[in-house]
Amino acid sequence: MGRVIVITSGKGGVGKSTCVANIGTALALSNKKVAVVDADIGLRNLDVIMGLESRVVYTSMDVIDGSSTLERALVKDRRVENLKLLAASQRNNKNDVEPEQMRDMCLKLKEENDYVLVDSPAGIEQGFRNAASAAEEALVVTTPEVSAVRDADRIIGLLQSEEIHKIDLIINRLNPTMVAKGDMLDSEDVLDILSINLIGVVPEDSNIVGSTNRGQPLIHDSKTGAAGAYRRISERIEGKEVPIPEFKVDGTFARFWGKLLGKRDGEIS
Amino acid sequence: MIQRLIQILTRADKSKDIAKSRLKLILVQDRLSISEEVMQSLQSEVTKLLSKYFTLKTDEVEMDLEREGNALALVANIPILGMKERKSELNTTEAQKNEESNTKKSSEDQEKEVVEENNSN
Repeated sequence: MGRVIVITSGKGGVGKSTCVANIGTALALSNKKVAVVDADIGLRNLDVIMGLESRVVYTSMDVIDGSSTLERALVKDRRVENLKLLAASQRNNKNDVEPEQMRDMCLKLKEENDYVLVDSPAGIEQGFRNAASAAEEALVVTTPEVSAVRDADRIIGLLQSEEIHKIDLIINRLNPTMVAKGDMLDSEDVLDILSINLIGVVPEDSNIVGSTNRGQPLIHDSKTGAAGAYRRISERIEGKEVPIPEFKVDGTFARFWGKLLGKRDGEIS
Repeated sequence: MIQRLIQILTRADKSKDIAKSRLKLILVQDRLSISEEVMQSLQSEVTKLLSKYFTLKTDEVEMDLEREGNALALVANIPILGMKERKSELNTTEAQKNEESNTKKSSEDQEKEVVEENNSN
C-alpha cells in the first residue's frame, strides 16, 4: 500500500506540475513505484512537462466511463523504471468527474504503487476537491510572492477542512540574489506567515525552462540548483533527514570560481 | 537622484518588509472573513449583553469588520436610548464604579474594539 499525495497551490503558475514531474521522477529513480496523476481535466499539462504527450492514448476519463482499464491508460516513462502517468482528458471539464470516481482510481493506484502523486489544478473549485479526494497528505507549492502565499494560506485551510492534516510546504522559485537585496520574501518570512512544515526550498533556475522545452524533467540531467532541491525533497518525503541548505549569494570572485567548478548561482554544495 | 542614493544606502524601504506586513494584514482579513450568520449571531449576543445595562435602539445596531491602518477593527455602531436601572444586588461601591463607566460609555455612540494583529497567528 502506497501513499497518495496531492500537490496543490491555489494560485496557478507557481510550478505545481514541474514539482510533480521532478519529485515523481526522483522517487522513481530511487527505486520506488510511482504513479503521477494529472487531475487538471480540460487543461492538461503534466504529459507535456514529462515529455509523454505523444504516447497518451487513454485518459482518466476513459477509465471512468469504462472505455479503458486503468492499467492500459497508464503511460510508462521509458527513461526510468516504475514511473507511470495517468493523463487527464483535454476534451472534458472538471465537473465531469466526481470526487468518488477520482478517489476510486487513486485508491487502485495506491495498491500497486509506493507513491501516487496527484497534480491538482489551480483554484479551489471541484477540480481541487477531486484531486484532494483520495489524498492523505498534501504538498502545498508557493512562490515567495504576496498573491501566491495568500492563496497557499487559503488552500491550507481547505485541505484541513478536507481532513488532510499532513501538509508540507514547498517554496518554489526562490531567488537568492533578490532575497539578499531585501526584494523577495525569504523562507523564514513565508513560514512565519503560513506556519506549516517546510519540506523544501527550490531556487529559481533558468534551466527549468529548457527542460520543459525538451520535455525532460531537469532531475535527469542535473544534480544541482532546482534539480538538487527536488531530489532532496523526494528524500525528505521518504523520511530521510536531509537539511535544507541556505541559498547564499556568492560574491563576484566566488561566482567566477563557482562557474569554473560548474556550480550555479545561489547554491551551496 | 540623491533620494535614490539615500534609499540604496539606508535600505529603509525593503520591498520584502512591505510585502510581509501587507500579507499579514491580508491574511487577518481572509481568515476572519466570517459568514453572515456568524456576524448575525455575534451581533445578537453583543446586543443581548449590552441590553442588560442600556436601553438600545436594537433595530439600528450595526457591526462590521473594517481595516483601520495597520490593524483590523470590529466597528460597532450601537445607538443608546438610556440606561437600565442598576440591579439591587450590587453593592454601593461596585454600583458607583458601574455608573461612572456607564456615563462614559453612553456619551459615546460608537465603540471600537481593535482586534489585535496577533489574532492572525
